[in-house]
Amino acid sequence: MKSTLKIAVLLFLSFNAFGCSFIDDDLLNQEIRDFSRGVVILSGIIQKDFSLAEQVNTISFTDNLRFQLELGGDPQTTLKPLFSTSDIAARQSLLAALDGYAQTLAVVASGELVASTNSNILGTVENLKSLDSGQFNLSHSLSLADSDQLVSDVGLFEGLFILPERDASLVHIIRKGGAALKKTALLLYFDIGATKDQSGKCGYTIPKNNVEGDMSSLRLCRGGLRSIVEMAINYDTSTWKDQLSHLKANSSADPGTRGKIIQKLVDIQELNQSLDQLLGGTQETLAAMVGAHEEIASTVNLASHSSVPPLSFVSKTGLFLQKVSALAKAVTAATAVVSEMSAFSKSDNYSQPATADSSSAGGVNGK
Amino acid sequence: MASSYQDALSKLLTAQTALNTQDISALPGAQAANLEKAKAGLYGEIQALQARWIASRDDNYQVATTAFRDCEAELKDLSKWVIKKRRTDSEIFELLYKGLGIALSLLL
Repeated sequence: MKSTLKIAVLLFLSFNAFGCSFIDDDLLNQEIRDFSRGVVILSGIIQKDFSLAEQVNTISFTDNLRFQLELGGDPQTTLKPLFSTSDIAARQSLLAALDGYAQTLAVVASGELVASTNSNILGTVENLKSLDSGQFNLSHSLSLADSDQLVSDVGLFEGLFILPERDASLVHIIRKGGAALKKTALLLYFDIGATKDQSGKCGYTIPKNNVEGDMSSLRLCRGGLRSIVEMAINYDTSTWKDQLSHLKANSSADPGTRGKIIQKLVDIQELNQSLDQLLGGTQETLAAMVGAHEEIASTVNLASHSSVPPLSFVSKTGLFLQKVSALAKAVTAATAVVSEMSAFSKSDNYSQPATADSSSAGGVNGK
Repeated sequence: MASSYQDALSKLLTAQTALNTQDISALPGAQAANLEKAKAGLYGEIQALQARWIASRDDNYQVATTAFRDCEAELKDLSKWVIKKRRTDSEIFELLYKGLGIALSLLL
C-alpha cells in the first residue's frame, strides 16, 4: 500500500515538474479568441432570430390581408410589428454588451490594452443602465422580482468595461464576467421561451426556477419568441387552409392555383419546424456558451495558481463552436426560405378569383 | 367582463382554435370575410399579449389592440348569422358559435 502511494506521489511530482514547461499560453489565448468569435456570431444569430420572427409576422399579415380582400372584406390594413422599437433596442443593447465582453476578453488575452474611452464601450455601458425587465418577454416564466433581478445582474458587465484593473488581469475579468455572461444567457433563454408548458405548474403559477443552477434544469411556461413565431406560422397556415377550402367551393378557379396553395401550406409548416429548431438550438447554444466560459474560467484560474496542465483543456469551447457553426448554417437556410416566402407573399404570383357570392356581398357584416 | 391577462390569453387561444376549426366553405362570402377579419383580430391580440410586458398575469385585462377592438362588428354579425344557422345545422357551427361567444365576452 505504502509503495503504491509513493509511486502515485512520484508520478504527481514528475507530472507537475513536466507541467511547468507544458502549459501553452498561446493555446489558451487562442481558445479565448475562438470563444470570443463564437459569442459574437451567436449574438448576430439572436438578432437574426428576432428579425425572422418579424418577417414571418409580416408574411402572415400579408397573406391574410390578400385573402380578406379577395373575399370582399374590409380588413385592417395597418401592419403591427411584434416588437416595439424600444423592445428591439433593449435586446440590441444586451447583445452589444455580450459582444463587448467577448471582444474585451479576446483583446486582453492577446496582451493588448483595451481603450476604456472606446465610444462603443461607453455607449454600451450607458444603454445597459437603461435596461428594464419590461422590455423583455419574461413574464410567462419569471416573476416580476426575478425578472428585475436578472436585468439588474446583467449590469455587472458595466464594471468589467470601466474598471482600470481589467487591463492587468484576465483572471479578474473572466472570474467576474462569468456571472454577467450567465445572467445574460438566462435572460435571452427566457426571452426565447417555449412553445409548450414545460412544468405542470404553468396553468396556475410560475414554476420556481433556480437561475443559479444548471440551465438544462430550467422549466419554462409557454411564451416568448418561440411561442410568438409558432403563433405567426399557425396563423398563416390557417389562412392557407381557408384559401384551399374556399377554393373547393369555387369551380371556376384556375387549376394551377390549388397547386400553389398546397405548396404554400406545406412550405409554411416546414418552416415552423425549422424555425423552432433554430430557436431551440439558440437556447442550447447559449447554455453551451455558459459551459465553455466556465471551463475557460476554471482553466485560466488553474493556470494562474499552478503549473499543472489542465487535463480537460477547454473542450467545451469546441462544443460551443460546433453548435454556433450549425446554428449559423440553420439561420442562413431559414433566412433564405423566409425571404423567398416573403417575396412570393408580396408578389402577384398568386391570385384566387373572387366568388360570385363575395363579389356581390357588398362588404361585410351587413354593410 | 373582468378577466386577468392570463385568463384572457387562455380564452383568446380557445376562441382562436374554435374559429380555426370552422370549414370556411360552409360560409357565404360575407361571413367568410367576417370570419377572416375576426381571426386577424384574435391573432393580433394574442401576439400583443405574448409580446408585451405584463407586470402581473393577474392584472385586469384590457384589450390591447385596435385590430381586436375593430372586429367587434364582424364578430357580432357572424354570431347572429351562426345563431340562425344553428337551428338547422347545429353540429357544423357549434364550435364556431362557442368561439365567437368567448371572443365577444372579452370585448363587451
